[in-house]
Amino acid sequence: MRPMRIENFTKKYGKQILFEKVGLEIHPGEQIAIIGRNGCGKTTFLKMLLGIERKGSGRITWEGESSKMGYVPQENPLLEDMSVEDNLKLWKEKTGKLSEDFLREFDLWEIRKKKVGKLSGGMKRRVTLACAMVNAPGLLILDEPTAALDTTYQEMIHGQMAEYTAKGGMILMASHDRYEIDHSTRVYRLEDGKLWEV
Amino acid sequence: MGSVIQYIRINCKRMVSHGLYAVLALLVTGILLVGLLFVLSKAMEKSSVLEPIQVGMIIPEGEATTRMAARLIGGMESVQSVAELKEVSKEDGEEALAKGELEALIRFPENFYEAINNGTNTPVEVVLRNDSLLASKAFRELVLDGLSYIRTSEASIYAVEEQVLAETAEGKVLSCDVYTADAIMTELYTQQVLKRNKIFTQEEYSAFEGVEISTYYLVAGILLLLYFQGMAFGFYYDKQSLKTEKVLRIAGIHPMLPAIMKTLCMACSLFVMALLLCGLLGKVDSNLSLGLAFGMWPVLFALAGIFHLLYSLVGESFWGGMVILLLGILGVLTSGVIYPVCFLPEWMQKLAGVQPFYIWHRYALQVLQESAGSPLPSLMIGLLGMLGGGVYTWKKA
Repeated sequence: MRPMRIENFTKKYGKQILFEKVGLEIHPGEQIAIIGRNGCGKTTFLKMLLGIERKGSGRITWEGESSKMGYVPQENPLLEDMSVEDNLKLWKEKTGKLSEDFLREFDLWEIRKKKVGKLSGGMKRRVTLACAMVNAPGLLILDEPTAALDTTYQEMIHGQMAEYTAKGGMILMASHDRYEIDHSTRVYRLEDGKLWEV
Repeated sequence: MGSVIQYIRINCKRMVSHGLYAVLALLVTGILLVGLLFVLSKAMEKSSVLEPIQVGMIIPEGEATTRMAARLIGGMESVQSVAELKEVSKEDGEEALAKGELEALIRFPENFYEAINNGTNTPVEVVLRNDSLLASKAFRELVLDGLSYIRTSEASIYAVEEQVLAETAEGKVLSCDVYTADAIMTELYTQQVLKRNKIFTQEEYSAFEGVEISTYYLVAGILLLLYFQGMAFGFYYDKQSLKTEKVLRIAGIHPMLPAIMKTLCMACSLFVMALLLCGLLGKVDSNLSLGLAFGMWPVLFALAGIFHLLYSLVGESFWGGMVILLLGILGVLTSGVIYPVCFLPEWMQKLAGVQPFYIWHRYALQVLQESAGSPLPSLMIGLLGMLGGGVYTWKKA
């Protein structure tokens, strides 16, 4: 796994500058947290990285790797009237069955046929994390992954994140959670259009 | 690519899983509609709006032939459906008219029947009340129409007489004399008058696009039920689905793919419902068959495109359904589906001509008669709706 470099990211809304020429570098096995007040542009920064936010500029350099990114958005991205299995297959790049090992890793084997709408908030977030990791991405982008979850599910998610980085994966996340910030390799603050390491 | 295939598969699965609810919604809507129409028709049947109006006839003493002719006309089913003619005296008739017991009074002149035979144009006076009911106004319209018809026939008889006389004066020999021609034309005219509505069929003019009135309205009913099914497709556009689609771009789902999938899935759902409706209603009207559902594919695609566009513009499932409902009501009232286009005012006829409901209804009727026109207008509507909605959602996100 090679490091990823983000350079000169700029986003403007008309004359208002959200952030200008910001960037950072992530290395394999690192967990990077971006902090900042609500509305400072953390989510927009992450979406630009994913390519789902338009009209911004910047460059991403990820040497020698296919750009597989997994994304856990702030809001629930699952189809509630479909099963856990169907939602996972939707995110899977290759057709075919989901491996039992993968489902058991996320403790989803027993509930794989259950409709997402019938799951608790914590379970849904677990499914979302599984969707983000179903293609074994090199980079996980998380937007407040444990917001509004109880401690049980928070610990579960944190455990998954730790396992992921231990295997060499990279995590870039926006967070307000004390635990996540404290356990990050590096923390950046986004404020007044600037991004700097704290 | 895997995500794309899965997205297609999952949308088809969603369509099937919601399909049962859509069919139930269709049946409930159909039952409610039929029930409402039944109650409405019963209420109107009992109200005075559709009752035949009372019309008095003042026939001078000694006018036995006129009296006989008046009774003959009064006994005709088509006349009895509009008015009940009864003979009254002058004084009684005028009193009854003033009191509102009669809606109209027909005053026949002296020697009326003889005057007709002699070719003298003796007017008959028809007096209506000032504050006449709708039915009276309809009666007035029918009288004027009949009068116009008579005058046209009369003019044709005079024209023939003039020509015959002119040619006789020039020494030409006619195959029949004036009186024979007069008799033939009178016979033809009487046949036409007595047939009333059937003249339209013989003259190949139809207010109902060449089908029976029951078929016309059953097809309109199918179209309306299918249109209002659009409100059942709101689940494709709930906030959660829209959020998911936005995020799925990371997985390689092109922003236009949801538009195409949803439109095609809705069209397929509508097709299944059309098969169900045609199959059921085919037992009531033998003119309807499953072939209608197959032939209506361009219309179903157009409907699906319209639904997608409306839901995309509104951006929300509930209000999107409300917009579909409101536009549907407006469209139905102004498109000639309820009242055939030829009965609408001229400006509404022009408007109806470009209404999607009119185009689709006409297309469906043509399918029944195996003379379907070009499917292009419907396909274009569907395509524009699908692509328009897709582009709008893409750019909005």
